Amino acid sequence: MSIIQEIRTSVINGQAKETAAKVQQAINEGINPDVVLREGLIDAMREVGRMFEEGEYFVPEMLIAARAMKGALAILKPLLVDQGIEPMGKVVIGTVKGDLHDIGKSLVAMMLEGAGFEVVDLGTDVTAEKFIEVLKQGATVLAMSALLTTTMPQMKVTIEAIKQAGLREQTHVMIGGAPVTQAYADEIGADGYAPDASAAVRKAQELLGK
Amino acid sequence: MSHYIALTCEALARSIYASAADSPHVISVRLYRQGLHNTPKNLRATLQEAIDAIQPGECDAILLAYGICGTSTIGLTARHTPLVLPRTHDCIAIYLGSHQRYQEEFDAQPGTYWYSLDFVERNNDQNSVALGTANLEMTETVYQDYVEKYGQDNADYLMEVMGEWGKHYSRAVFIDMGVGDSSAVENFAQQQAARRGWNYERKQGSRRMIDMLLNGQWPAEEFLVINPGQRIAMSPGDGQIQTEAAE
Repeated sequence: MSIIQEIRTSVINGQAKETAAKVQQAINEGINPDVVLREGLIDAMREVGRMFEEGEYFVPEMLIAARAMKGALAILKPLLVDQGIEPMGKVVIGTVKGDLHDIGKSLVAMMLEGAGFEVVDLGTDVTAEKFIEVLKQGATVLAMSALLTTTMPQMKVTIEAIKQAGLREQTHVMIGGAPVTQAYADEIGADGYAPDASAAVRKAQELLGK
Repeated sequence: MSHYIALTCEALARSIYASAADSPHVISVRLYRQGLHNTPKNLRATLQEAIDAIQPGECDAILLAYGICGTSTIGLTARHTPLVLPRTHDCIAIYLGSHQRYQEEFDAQPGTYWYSLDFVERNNDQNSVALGTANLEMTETVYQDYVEKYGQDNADYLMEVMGEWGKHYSRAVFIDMGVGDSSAVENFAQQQAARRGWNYERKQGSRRMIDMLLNGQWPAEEFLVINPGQRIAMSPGDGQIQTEAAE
């Protein structure tokens, strides 16, 4: 098995230490960090997403795979920056104001990172103003989550606020969370809805035309 | 005098029984397992099946002792008998007596963990010990299972990630509905709060909304009446509910 394949397998199995060690080894062997990223990490996370959709993997497996991926990404990032390799796009993500639930949102953030996006995760209870701040710093995808029907309307509030701030045209808005539906996304004028973390990656890629 | 069938979440059992006993109407209470809202389509299917099993003329209205419950009640359809649903998001508002009181509490401190006698004493899900949480409390069994499957390092990580939610909470509230002996459950809530470093409060609940539901007092701003041929829908954008024609 090639070192790239070993990296891929260790990410899929959620082996953080092994993944980091193998990525370091690959770099030491002179393999291009961009190849490690695309053929090792991104490809592994695509497989993890597929396994989740097929019902082979559940949230814990996704979480540990994403953890292994993140550890490896930390090693690769400075090298990728040195090479001038651009991320797929910049996403700002958070759970809306008043809502403190973050497992689903964090999983989406990790899957997006695993797909090569730069992700700014603002955590939970995020106001429209905080989202806008990051959009002004160059994020072009806004991803919002809500678990409660009580807080779901904050998505509409945030979309209105980015309109007011003159940022709506340049921003792709995607939403998700247990009570959220495609119909709700249409109603409030979001650009996309994804029912799970794996679909969220495809939706972000689709919105950016990638 | 009317006859109502009250399809009731277990989490409201004692209060519904108490109010039913005092109602001027004849109330038949039917209980459904709490926690079904964790999978909204299961709760929706359970309730629709119960609605569909009621024969024409069997009662004057079917009362739903529920809220939106994470969209579980969205789509429920009235066949030949009207349905009545409180306009609340979940049982916490019903315990507190009004949506308005719940909204005030929520706005003041969203990081609140709610406890009630019914919810704790009827809890058969070891992973969930308070209202509004779904399988978030990791138990030793789950931990051991993770160690076996993913190794200790990953198991510790999963415990940490899945325990994150606790860090966002700052307050535990026990809602006293004034029925039954709740001292043991209240002690339990206090211990949980102490263990997690949350402030502990005890609040007096109110059977106001439950009484209104069972007594046939359904002002439009607090209750949604779904007439035959209609179903429950989300109203656009604002997270509230309305009726629409069933297809």
